[in-house]
Amino acid sequence: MKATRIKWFSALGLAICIFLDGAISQQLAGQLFTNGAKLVPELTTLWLLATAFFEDEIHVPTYWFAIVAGIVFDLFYAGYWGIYLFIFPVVVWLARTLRQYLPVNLFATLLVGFLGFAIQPLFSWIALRLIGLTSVSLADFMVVSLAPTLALNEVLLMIFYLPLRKLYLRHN
Amino acid sequence: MHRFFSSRRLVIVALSVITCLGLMTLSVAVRNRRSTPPVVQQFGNDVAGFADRVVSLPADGIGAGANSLAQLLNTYDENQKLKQQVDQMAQDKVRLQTAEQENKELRQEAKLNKSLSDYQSLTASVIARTPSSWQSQLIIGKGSANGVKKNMPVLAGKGLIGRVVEVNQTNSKVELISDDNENANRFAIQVTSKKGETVNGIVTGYDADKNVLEMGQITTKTKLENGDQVATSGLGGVTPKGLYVGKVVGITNDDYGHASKVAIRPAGKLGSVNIVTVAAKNQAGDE
Repeated sequence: MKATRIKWFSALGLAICIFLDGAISQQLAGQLFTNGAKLVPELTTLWLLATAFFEDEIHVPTYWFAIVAGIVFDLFYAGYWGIYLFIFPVVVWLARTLRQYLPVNLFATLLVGFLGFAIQPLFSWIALRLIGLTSVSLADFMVVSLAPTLALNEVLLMIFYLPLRKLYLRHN
Repeated sequence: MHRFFSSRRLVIVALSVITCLGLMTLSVAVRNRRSTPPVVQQFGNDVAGFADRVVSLPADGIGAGANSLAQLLNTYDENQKLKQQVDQMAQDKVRLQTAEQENKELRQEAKLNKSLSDYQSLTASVIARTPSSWQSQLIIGKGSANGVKKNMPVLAGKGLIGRVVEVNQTNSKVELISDDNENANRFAIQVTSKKGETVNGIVTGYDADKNVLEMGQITTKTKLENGDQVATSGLGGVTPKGLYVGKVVGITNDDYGHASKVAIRPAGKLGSVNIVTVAAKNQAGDE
């Protein structure tokens, strides 16, 4: 019973995160996307990572979550198919794999977050380079996009760590 | 400890990479060729758009609150300046009305029913922005049901900010001129010099570091200066004539003294935009 409730909670949280990403980007565009630094909010990635890393015995269908999130991102935000559809399952796979080797604490979570948050800009950059929609160089990508985005999302993860961890622990 | 890459997993990874690459290539082709996305995509986007409005409502409220607080702080200064401008406005308005009337009469005389500068404007609210460093796209709350068509130019603030790239039933995607996609800023434009002479050209690029549009490959003897006004020329495509683009901020001359590359500071608001205007050209026989 409790496990079902938390599954619904994860699904609802994911849906909210998906649309919050767009809403935050839109409301704070002037502050987040400047020419010197582009901070992309990755709440969806954060939610997927946290769910996959904390779920333990609950068995949330994280891969399906990732696929649905990927489809919404591709269709609604990007307008190209197959970019986020690939990224989000990889993020989930990463968290689930690392869970077997790492203890679940703040430091390990931030480490997983670091890798996960890097995947989204990295893969979307590679994908857009492949289909010729961007001409940003590797150096520009690292300094202007990757570093600020990582910093922003690590801070967000630090804030969300305790409440999310407590929630999943209580339901385990 | 199990092997990190079993052969089965390798096959799955390879298959998904190939599938995603295929999907990407296909969607680029579809997006460039068709005026509307496939029905499934449209339906998905309309549902997502609806859900987005539910979630972004409180976010918009908070954003609006923060905005109004910031605006409150410089209200007094602004008020002083605006008062002066309002006086000027009244005069301009009367002049504009007279000119418009005269223009209409002259056109009737010349039997010109539709001209390049005729357009209808559609106001739409922005419901989301693509959370990505490279794709500067807005999702606006009007779609084909409201008469939005692909490639229509979009304005915000004082000037042009981009064009419609995808149209669904109830929402559309707008690609901003600051987008990395090389096609995003190809607009046919016209620079008007201080003497009233015009130079036609096409926007050839956007420099993100300097926030300027570049207009290249110009061969003309007309002398352009910084501060010259730039507007769309209405030549080719669905962009009407006379949409304000920006001001000239720099000219690089070639060896012969002809202006060869012009830098234009866009007047449109590219940052946090909440309301945009879609300009629909009135084409002959459109109604």
